[in-house]
Amino acid sequence: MNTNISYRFSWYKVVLAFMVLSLSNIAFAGDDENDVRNPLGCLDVGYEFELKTLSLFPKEAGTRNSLYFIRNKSNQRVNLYQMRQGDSSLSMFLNHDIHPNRWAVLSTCEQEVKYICTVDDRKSKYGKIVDCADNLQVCEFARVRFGLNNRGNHWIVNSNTRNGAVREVVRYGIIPQ
Amino acid sequence: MNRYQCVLAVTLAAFFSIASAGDDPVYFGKALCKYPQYECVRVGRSQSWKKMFPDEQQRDLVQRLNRTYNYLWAGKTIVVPKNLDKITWKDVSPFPLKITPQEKTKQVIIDQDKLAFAAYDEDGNLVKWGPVSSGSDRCSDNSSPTCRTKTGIFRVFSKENQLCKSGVFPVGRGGAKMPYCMYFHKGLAMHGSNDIPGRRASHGCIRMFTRDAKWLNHHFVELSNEGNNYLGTKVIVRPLKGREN
Repeated sequence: MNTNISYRFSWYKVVLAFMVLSLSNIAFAGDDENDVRNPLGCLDVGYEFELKTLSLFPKEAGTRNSLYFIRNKSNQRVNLYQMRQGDSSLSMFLNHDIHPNRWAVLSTCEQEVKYICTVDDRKSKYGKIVDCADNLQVCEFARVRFGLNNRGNHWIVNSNTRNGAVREVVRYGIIPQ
Repeated sequence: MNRYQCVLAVTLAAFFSIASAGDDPVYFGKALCKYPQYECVRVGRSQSWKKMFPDEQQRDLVQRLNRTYNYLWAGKTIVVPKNLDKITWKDVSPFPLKITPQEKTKQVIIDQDKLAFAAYDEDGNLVKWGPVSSGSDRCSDNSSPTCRTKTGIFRVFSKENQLCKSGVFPVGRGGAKMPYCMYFHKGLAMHGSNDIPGRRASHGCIRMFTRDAKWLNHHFVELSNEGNNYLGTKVIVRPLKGREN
């Protein structure tokens, strides 16, 4: 009798394990597909690709302090070098690099942020200039509620998966809407 | 075996000398000894800042140049300008006296390579500079993998008086003194400290001479209000050379 129960119990366990495995497979498969889509609520606004460069206009849609999710859709590391109007030795450049197929997140409240994109090249310290439009996917959370204590211009996420990037932002205390 | 030990010791010594050479200051302290305007002085026994430089202004200037006002010890080398009685803080500034600001706003620039801050008014005139000690590469208490200060452009959103204290450090207790703290991002603040060792040594905050923090707190830094479009004084934390984040 006892043997029978334990036999039935292990059979259920096998079925359960199989179901969990299939579910996780579906979840992971979905993760890959989801990774190329913009996060929910992240809109295709507040930026422009022009002459190989990327311009961000945080104030254009929604509040001035915005959150940009930027995906490197190429299979090599993309370096972002900020371009500024004035030439001052004390200008702060919000430069960054994003790993292949990964998302980075920039918080900014500047009027305009302009980037030139490069990929690593042995011949040049700054790399070879590439067209930002071919290598980047951009979206903006235009109505983010920032606390007074976490505003500013800085990179919040260096390089992560889409869900990982959203998690990092939330853990940072910023709620994208 | 002894031979191997010798080779290992030599290799390690070479490695450490290369590693430490990378962290050697360029803009302050002993690095200035090679210039004819400065001389390097070895501190003698039972010497102190006050004994060596009785004049308060001159003492302040030498401390700024050495990026420290901590106790001196016998054998320490400090840099002293040759014409100390004729120069002012502007003459030894590591920052330009005038910049062209991109927007008409007051700003505090923290340069971690120079281990110094600069306060510029709305028109881009340098009104004050002084030493800082920002976040160290490794936390002294292992509270985080790194204690480097977050870099970026921020705004001061809160400031307190000389009684300001940390709610976090020392870990588990809090209570570390942060006189005249001025918070600019989350728990990061510029504040006064008695320990400015001439290198990056903090948990992420920007330590400065207490007299500088007091001046900034009382006379320079503004919180958000209607007059500044609800944007407090700008704080720019520049990345270390060769490290963008």
